[in-house]
Amino acid sequence: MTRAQKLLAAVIAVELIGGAVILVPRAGRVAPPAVDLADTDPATAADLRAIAPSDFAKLGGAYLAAGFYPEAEACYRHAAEREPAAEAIFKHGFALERLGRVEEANGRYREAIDTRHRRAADLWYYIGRNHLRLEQPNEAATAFARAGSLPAARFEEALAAARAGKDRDADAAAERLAADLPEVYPPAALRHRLAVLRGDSRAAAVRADEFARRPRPLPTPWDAEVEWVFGTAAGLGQERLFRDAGRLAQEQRFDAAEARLREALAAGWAPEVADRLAEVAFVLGRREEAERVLTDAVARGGPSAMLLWRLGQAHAALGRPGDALAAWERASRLAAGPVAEGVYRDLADGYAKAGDGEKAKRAAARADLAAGLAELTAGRPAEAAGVLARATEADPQLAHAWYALGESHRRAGRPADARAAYDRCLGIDPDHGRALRGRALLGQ
Amino acid sequence: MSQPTARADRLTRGLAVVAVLIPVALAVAVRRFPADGTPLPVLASPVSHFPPAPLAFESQPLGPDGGTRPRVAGARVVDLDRDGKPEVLVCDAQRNRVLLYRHANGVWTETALGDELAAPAAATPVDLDGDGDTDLVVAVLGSVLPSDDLIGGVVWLENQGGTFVTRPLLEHVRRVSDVQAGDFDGDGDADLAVAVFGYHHGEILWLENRGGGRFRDHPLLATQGPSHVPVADFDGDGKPDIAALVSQEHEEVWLFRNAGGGTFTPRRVFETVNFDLGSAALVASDLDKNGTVDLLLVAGDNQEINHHHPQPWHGCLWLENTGGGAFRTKRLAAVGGVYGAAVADFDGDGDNDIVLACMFNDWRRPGAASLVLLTNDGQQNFTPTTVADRPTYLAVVAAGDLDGDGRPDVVAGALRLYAAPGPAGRLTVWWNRGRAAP
Repeated sequence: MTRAQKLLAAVIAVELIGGAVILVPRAGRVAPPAVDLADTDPATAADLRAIAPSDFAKLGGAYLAAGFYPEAEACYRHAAEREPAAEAIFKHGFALERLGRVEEANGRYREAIDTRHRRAADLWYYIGRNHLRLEQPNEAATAFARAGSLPAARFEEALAAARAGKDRDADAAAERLAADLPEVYPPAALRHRLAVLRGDSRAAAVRADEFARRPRPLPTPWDAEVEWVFGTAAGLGQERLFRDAGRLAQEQRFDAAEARLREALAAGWAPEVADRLAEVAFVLGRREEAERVLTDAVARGGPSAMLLWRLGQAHAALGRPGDALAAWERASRLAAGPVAEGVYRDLADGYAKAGDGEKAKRAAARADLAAGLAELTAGRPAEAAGVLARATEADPQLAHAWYALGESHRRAGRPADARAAYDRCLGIDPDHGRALRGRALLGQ
Repeated sequence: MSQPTARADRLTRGLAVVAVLIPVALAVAVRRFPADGTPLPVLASPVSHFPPAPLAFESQPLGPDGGTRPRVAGARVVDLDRDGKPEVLVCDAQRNRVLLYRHANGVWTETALGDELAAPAAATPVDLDGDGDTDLVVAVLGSVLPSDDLIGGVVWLENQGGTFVTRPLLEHVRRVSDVQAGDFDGDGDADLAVAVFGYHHGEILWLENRGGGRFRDHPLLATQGPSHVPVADFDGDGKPDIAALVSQEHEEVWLFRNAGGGTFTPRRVFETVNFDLGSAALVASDLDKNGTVDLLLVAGDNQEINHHHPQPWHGCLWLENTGGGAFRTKRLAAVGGVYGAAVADFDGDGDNDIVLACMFNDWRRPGAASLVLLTNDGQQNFTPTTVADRPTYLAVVAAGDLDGDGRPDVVAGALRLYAAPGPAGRLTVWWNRGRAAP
């Protein structure tokens, strides 16, 4: 070997050793997936970047909450490989499910069960649901059976019976579930469907009424996951800032709340944040600023009953009752449901102060109607009746208030009062279909 | 040169080449294995990306910008003033307005119809009072966000010489997502079919026109999640029937066959055990041009927690009307996050094609389709192609020849519940320029 060859061999040896020193540690090292945060608000992006890249499970949760589902799956996949504990395997399955990879998800759920996951019944429910996604009802039924007495799994069994044409079994199963969970509506909804499909209009009407009276959805294992994901999301970026601002405002720390809200708005303008900022500015005595923020919010985010209502309040506080009434009138055209009560109460006060007693009375009746309907839909008919009676006194021509009063009496078990109220409604509006149906139900 | 010397030279040259190649390979390997570690691969959606459309479409924004949260909940091509030129009728749930866009000499003009309405979702032209002009009936959601409060309604925008006067027809109900017209009781005036989507509770109603602007509501089905109620003579008996798409985990299509005199016979014509199908729209159209009205079921809703992802079962289903109110289901295409559909012969080959609007595609991957064209081979076999990948979050789509060139154009509107990724846009027209250059 010549000197040149020896030198070259030495260079090659050094290169190989150096390369090995550099590459060997790198080859085994894994990083989180590359994430494009360009379209993510700066506050959320900063929170995501602040999570240690080595904490794959935490990154997975944060990515899932922020909507980066493929990246979440990758992180959970690695976390479960590194430490194959039951919860890590379940989380990976959950992330796979978000991507629609439900067969793989079921594989992970089974592994989690085998690894003694504490929520085995819930996971069997999820496995059953994924078989439904795959249109495999028989496999789904087997999984639901293993979920034990979970109400959601029992309801799936009732649905399966209905799909199989076993209407009596389905109806009986739904009836049992309805009895066990008196505030829950899906069993009543299923029984109504069965009655409609068999052409039994009388039973359909009764079941529809039962469905309407029950305010709550079925409790399912999914509730825990929703709480987990929403809870994680609330700790990220704008949502974190908004949540913190709300908490600080409740603690009367308005300066700190304002700082958080301004940070949130800097990350991205949103009408609900602007609304909260106006509220804080109002409390801090900066009423002109509150008015400006709300006017801008209506222009940028579009008119809403809530924003216009608050704008009217700002106008009123600044001593411009005419502008306030105009804003509240505009709000009232958009308002329904719970917001309507507040809008109409302010309108009633505004008209009363302006000396227009008639308009004040009508607005007060509308406010009571909104409040009464809210009580009724929340399943509190006795409370609803008191408020609605006030509405009918204030404006006896308000047909829907009479109808709602009739509903409240009927649901509270006062059929004679209910009939009288329905009749008053139909006297004003003979085509009020709901009142006609309510009255018909009294005879059943 | 002697043989040993030549061999030695070759060895020297070989070693030199290896000494040079090793750093090159090392540089490549260093890039392949970064110091922070190799990024984990992510799983791509199989239903997000398609080849380019065979037709050339030129896009143009229509109307004002919607900022970061445009909320177009309804769009259709109409001829409201009956002048033979089509307009675009839009329900804007951000500005809380029903808006009409007219196109003349390359310029669009916008007109607000009636009063402000809380989140209008659908506006249907109909001569409700029989006075010879076209009125509108509007489905009012009350809120695009989920709510079980009594915030919805049906409103009549009465045409009074081109000015539209707002008249409530149904109030204090849950969120109303659709209203369609038909003379259901055969008395010569227009009645209404209503989808009360609600949230946990909802219902399907029909409103009997009692004359003088009075309507009586009749229940058809108590259920959460009815989103669309297309009206047509589906069973061919000469009377208008009501079809209804019921989502919210029911994922079914009902047909309320008109039995005459304001009575209906309900039947479920489509159902699936896949509660997560994501039913989003139901479009009535004679897709195969055989003289019966078919239904297109569009599935791609996936706002299940606070974000979304395209699912492999998303896409477009054809409920082929086989006569007498019976339907046969065929899956036409798998397309992620689809929310709206419109039918027309876009390529001018004599058969019907379909354009799909995607709301819940994988917007974080470049090139994910927002507008998809399904071209028909004449045998109702459809090929998906990408017309556009922006704006994103397209919720509604309509088709019509807006420029009078004989080719159907496309208009689509975007709906964003929250600030979200991808290029925002409110309302966009895609002018159909015919076959694309190869």
